[in-house]
Amino acid sequence: MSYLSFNNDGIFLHDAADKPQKLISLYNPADNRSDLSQNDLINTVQNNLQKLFNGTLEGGINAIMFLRIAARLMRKPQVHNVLHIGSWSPLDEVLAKVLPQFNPKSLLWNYAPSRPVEKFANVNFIFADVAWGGGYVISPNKFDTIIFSEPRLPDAEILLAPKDWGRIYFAAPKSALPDYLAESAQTFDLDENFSVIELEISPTLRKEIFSHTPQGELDDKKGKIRQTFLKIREVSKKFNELPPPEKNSVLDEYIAELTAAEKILNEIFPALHSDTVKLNFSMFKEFLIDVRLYKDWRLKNRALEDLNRQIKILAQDLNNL
Amino acid sequence: MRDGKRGAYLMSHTGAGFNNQQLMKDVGIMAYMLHKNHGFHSVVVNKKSDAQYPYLEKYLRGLEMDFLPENNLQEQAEYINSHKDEMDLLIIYGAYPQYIPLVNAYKQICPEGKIYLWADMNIGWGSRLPHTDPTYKKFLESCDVIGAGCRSVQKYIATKWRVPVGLVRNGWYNFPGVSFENLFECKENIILTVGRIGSDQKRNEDMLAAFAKVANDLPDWKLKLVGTIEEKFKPYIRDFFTAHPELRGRVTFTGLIEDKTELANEYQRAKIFCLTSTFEGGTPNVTAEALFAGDYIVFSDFDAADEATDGGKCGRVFPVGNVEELAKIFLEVCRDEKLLLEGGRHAVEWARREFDAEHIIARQVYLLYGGDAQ
Repeated sequence: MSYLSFNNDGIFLHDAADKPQKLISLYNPADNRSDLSQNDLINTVQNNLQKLFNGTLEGGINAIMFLRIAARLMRKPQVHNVLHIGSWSPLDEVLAKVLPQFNPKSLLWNYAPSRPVEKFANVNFIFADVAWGGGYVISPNKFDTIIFSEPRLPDAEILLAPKDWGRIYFAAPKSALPDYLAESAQTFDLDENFSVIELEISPTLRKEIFSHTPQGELDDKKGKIRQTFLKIREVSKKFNELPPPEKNSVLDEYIAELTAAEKILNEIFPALHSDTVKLNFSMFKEFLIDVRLYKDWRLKNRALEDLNRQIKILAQDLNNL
Repeated sequence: MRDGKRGAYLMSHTGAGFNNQQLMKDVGIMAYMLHKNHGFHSVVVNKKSDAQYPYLEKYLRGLEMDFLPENNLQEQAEYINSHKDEMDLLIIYGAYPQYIPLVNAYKQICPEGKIYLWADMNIGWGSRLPHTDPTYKKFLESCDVIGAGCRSVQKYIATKWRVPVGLVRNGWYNFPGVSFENLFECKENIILTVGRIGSDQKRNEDMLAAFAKVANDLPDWKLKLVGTIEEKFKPYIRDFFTAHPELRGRVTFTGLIEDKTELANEYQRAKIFCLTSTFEGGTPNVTAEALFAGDYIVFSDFDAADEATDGGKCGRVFPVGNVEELAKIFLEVCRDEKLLLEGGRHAVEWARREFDAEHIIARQVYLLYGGDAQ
């Protein structure tokens, strides 16, 4: 049986020949641009939609995987509006053309992670074509269903992301799940080779997941982090309450205290699982360096404002740990 | 070390090289600043070609250049081996998988050396990189500091690649030594763009179309496009002036301006700087140049656009390809002198804070070496 497979390199035809034949190139690394005509891509997928429905269109990555799961789910009439979260790719053109064939009312949006999600109304189905940290989706309780394109477990903090999620799908066999999740998971098979995990995230499951995360396992380190951070907040509070002339005279001391705390946090942070916290910590370090480096007092004061704001953000992150 | 100085070596991936223009951008500036301000001896290891490098003599005194005939892996490994006592820092530009053999060679030969990766990219390009591939992941983890060109890319790298990443925007340094005295008194009613005119990426046709729409309503305004014109765009320009003969003299194409003083003067004369790009890699170099010159920014919504305007305080962002919206923006801002002046002043302040090349590089040095290297 011949079939098509699809990955970031292109679309391949598998038939009786030993080596898959590349039909269309998707990505030309020499100039970082796709040399695939979008029409070609759309036509190829559309021409093989029947194979898609029948489950004979292979491919475990990104759009094809999503389309295959969606083919199952979107036969349910209530599934309508899809938000594709991920950087722009020719696949968006494909999705825009193909999705209405599943459900005429379906609409597709795409956004890049730099834009807020809230502006997309009535989205109840997310195709998450990204490896997520905790921060991208702001109002997840609007969303009913989310499919992860990458065939690996999503991060624990995604499962623990703010508010309650609905159902999550990802392409992996149930055996890939740890026992405590496998008990709660359902699976369905797209075909004999391809199964999908369906996980309904409840508050109880969230607690269970947390206790198994590296964060959950780092209680003693959390204690040390909190302690260090309380110290930062105490020092920042004292510093910020001083009137300007006095602030200048203790600035070096303030920076020294923050630097000492930064050193401790540097040791502990790599062990933490949250990318958002690590990113916010990177920004904290950046602003602290700026305060040290700027000679111009206007710039130094601006950097101090950024730093003090970042300390509050980091404190909030740590409270959420 | 050489003569007590740390050595910073900028190397391209195998087979590639740097041209004269690139020396005055991002990593070329980094290598130069490491020499000028931080006591490094800095070397650009380049592929041998017939290209000339006049900027080395004119603006980048002290920056050295070594040439490898093919710049292939064997030559690179031999070069590293013969300079291993001097190479303290390897600078690589772009998160290309093609760098993996070079980085592996460097790590083997100079295990104590540090690696700086300037990941100047946009999210679209970055999303195609094989970040889950173990070999590629190891490559990223080998880098001591990774710099992203704007906040959105920094966040993307932190979450997608899961490696520590700093912010390193493409900054500006006053190489030509131009004066900024009376900056706003010298400005003229000019909308400026600088870049490869007519490339698919830049979408200059949008800018021309938008200007043509409002030109009658803005009789005092001109549009100036600076940069080499792509051959395929020349017919478009001819057709444009056939359709809008009244705009000859108001829409001008200067070609490439290589002299930095002359280029800086163009930025200073303009009131508005515009880009209509589909995408950009990180923060385009022109952003810093325009901000320091007090230009009000009008950008299409590529990754770093919003940051360039400091969230709208010194510019506006419009959806890529939306000529109507761009025309509306031109009409609105060109008629608002107060906005242009206040926005321009904020642009300068914003530039001094966030786009000062010396400060940006100093921050990277801090991340690499702590306070000792200042």
